[in-house]
Amino acid sequence: MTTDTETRADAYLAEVRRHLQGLTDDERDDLLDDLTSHVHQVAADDERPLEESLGPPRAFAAELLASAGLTAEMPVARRGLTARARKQIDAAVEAIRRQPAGRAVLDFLPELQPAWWLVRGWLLVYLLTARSNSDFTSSFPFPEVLGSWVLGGMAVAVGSILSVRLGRRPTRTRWIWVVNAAAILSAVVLVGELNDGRTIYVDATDAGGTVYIDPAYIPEPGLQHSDGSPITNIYAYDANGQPLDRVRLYDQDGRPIETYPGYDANGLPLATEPVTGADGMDVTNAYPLHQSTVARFPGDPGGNQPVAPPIIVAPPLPPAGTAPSTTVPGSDASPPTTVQVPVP
Amino acid sequence: MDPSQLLKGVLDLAVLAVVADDDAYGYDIVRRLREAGLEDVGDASVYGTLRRLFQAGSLSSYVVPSDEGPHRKYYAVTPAGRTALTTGTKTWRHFADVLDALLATAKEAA
Repeated sequence: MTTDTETRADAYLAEVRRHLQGLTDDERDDLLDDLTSHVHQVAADDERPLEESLGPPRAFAAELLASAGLTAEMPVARRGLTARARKQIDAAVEAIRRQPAGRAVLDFLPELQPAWWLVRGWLLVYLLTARSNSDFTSSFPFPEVLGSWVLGGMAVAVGSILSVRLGRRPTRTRWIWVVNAAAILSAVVLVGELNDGRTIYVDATDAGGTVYIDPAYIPEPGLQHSDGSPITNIYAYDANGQPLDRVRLYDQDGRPIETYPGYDANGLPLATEPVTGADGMDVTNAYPLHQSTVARFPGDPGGNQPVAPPIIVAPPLPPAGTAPSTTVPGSDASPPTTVQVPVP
Repeated sequence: MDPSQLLKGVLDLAVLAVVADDDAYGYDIVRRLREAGLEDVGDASVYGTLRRLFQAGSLSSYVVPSDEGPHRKYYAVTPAGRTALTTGTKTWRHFADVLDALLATAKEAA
């Protein structure tokens, strides 16, 4: 026996010892005592590396524990909070197990473990690749890696494989709870973000009900004040302070200016009475819009009420020409060319 | 079918049989099991099984000085081990007969 084989055998044994967790020192010494001469002899007789002839030290240790009937669990003596929490969990599990249905569910749980390993890999890749919370949903179900969801999909595949390998380790990894906690955190953020993106919550507690509205049916925000509050309607007054009806508004390019009625101040959805031009086309920029509230549920007392115009006292203006000019020097302030279709 | 799964259930019996044939030390037991045809048997499984059978009182051990290298721990079957071997043999025979019959029925059907 050369010194080299002895060194190899001792190194292998040290690795096996490292993986014999959850045993008393006596038990460990007892197991390894026997094995020392064995491993040395294998090293001397077999040309191959010990990792090949005997398998990886970790697997060797796990096999040894399993066949010796020694579980690799944590020592039984737990103290303080952990022990009490453990006891209560055990009692709860025992109570569930007494029911036939509960027992069936509990027995089924281990079958789901591989599925959890896969999902865990996916969740961790999400957590690692998202630069901000909104990134979570922008590319669901695959995270974007370097702006590509194809790379993201590949990252998810690799992550899932690694997660499964971690789960299949014969001995329990000590820091596994960190991995699981991170995956659960990722799941919580993901579910929260998906909910934010998919549904808008309308509080209607005063009416005794709640409504979920899919934002796919809500148009883009239209006109807004600088503080972000929506402009749902426009009331025009002439120079004499008289309200005008059916005023057509256009922007600098001749495009009709439209407001999108969303909700009134009480959160009630708004409906606009359609206006049809002489050419039969819908006119969307004739102000003020004639709006009414929409019932959120049958018999909603807040529904089908016409929206009253604001109470405005518009003071008359001095004749045109005396007002200070707002024209920016050098700018083209000529009005856009639009063809007006009369509103009947 | 995974032979290593089958082996798990019968390794106790196989080890008892080998040691009952002649007292042996671990390395020798592994070698004899492999020579008998259980090529896939793991070194660690055999040592774990030896320890468990020893703790259960089915095996006893004694140390023999070796000319080359360290002392060797030999195992021998105790009277309790002989009983376990007899019972295990009966169980195995019955199991093997049942399965043989089952497989024969399946063969006729196929």
